[in-house]
Amino acid sequence: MTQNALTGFAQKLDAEVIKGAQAGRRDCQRQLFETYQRPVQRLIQGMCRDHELARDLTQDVFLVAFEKVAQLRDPKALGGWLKQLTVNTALSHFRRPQQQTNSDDSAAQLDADDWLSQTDWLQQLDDIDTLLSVLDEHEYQLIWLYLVEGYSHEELAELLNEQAATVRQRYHRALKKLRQRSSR
Amino acid sequence: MNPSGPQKQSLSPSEELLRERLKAQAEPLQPVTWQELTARQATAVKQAQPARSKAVALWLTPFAVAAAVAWLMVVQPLSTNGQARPQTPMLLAGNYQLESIDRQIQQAYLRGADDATITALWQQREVLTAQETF
Repeated sequence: MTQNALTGFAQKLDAEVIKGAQAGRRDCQRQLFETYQRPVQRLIQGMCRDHELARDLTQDVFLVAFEKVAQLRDPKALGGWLKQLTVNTALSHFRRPQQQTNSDDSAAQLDADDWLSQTDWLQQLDDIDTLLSVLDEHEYQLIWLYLVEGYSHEELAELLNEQAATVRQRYHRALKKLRQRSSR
Repeated sequence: MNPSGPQKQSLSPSEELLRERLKAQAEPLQPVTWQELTARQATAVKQAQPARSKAVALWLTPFAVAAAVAWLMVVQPLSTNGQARPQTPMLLAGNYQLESIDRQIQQAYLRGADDATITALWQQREVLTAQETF
């Protein structure tokens, strides 16, 4: 099962419905919206952790999708295309200069690897919001896109216009922060 | 880009667990409805209309200026029957009078008229010249 299937973007729409949406038919656009509304909103909600903002950006995504869906050549690619559009919309909203830190990345990875082998603390943790609050916006988005949306570090590097090694380091640094927060 | 993760390493148990917690946390509390989206779309269209009119006006400005210049330089100098207007300025009625006085002065000198007559003709000429000046 692909990650798209897990997150709802793999749902199929009839080719005629997609053609209708491309032609601007409101009933077809509505069907497209009803099919993908939840995965789109969940993805954005996961990336921004703000319900109202997620609702706003979800609407933005569909307005842009209705405008640009005519450019889609292969109807089978609709789910992946919409997912990409959703991620890009969220990232362009949040994009700002990335802060580069020069901490000991090998140590961060070592600690993170150690943390990966332990699950007990996470199972017992009720307040995940508090735990995640130690992450900054970019770290959180990275974790979300990697774990939930299924992007690899290489794909994320391309998406974020960074080196894959940098993305990997930031991911492990974020895990380390979670581990440190949970051990307090 | 295919985020299906073919090159991705398998997740550790902790990562799997964290993923499930994240997913559960991100479930939308209040999903966006079609009615909301339609209302938002209507607002967006309404806001885009003045901007579009403004953009059209900006695009048309150079054409309007060119048309105005063409009207002033080419069309307006042509008379309504399509003929060009005379290049020389039209003579005013005063010019005819001045010409007539000049002729009278010349003839007065030729026939040896008295000073009073010649002075009177020069005075008339001065009056006409003064009128033309104003």
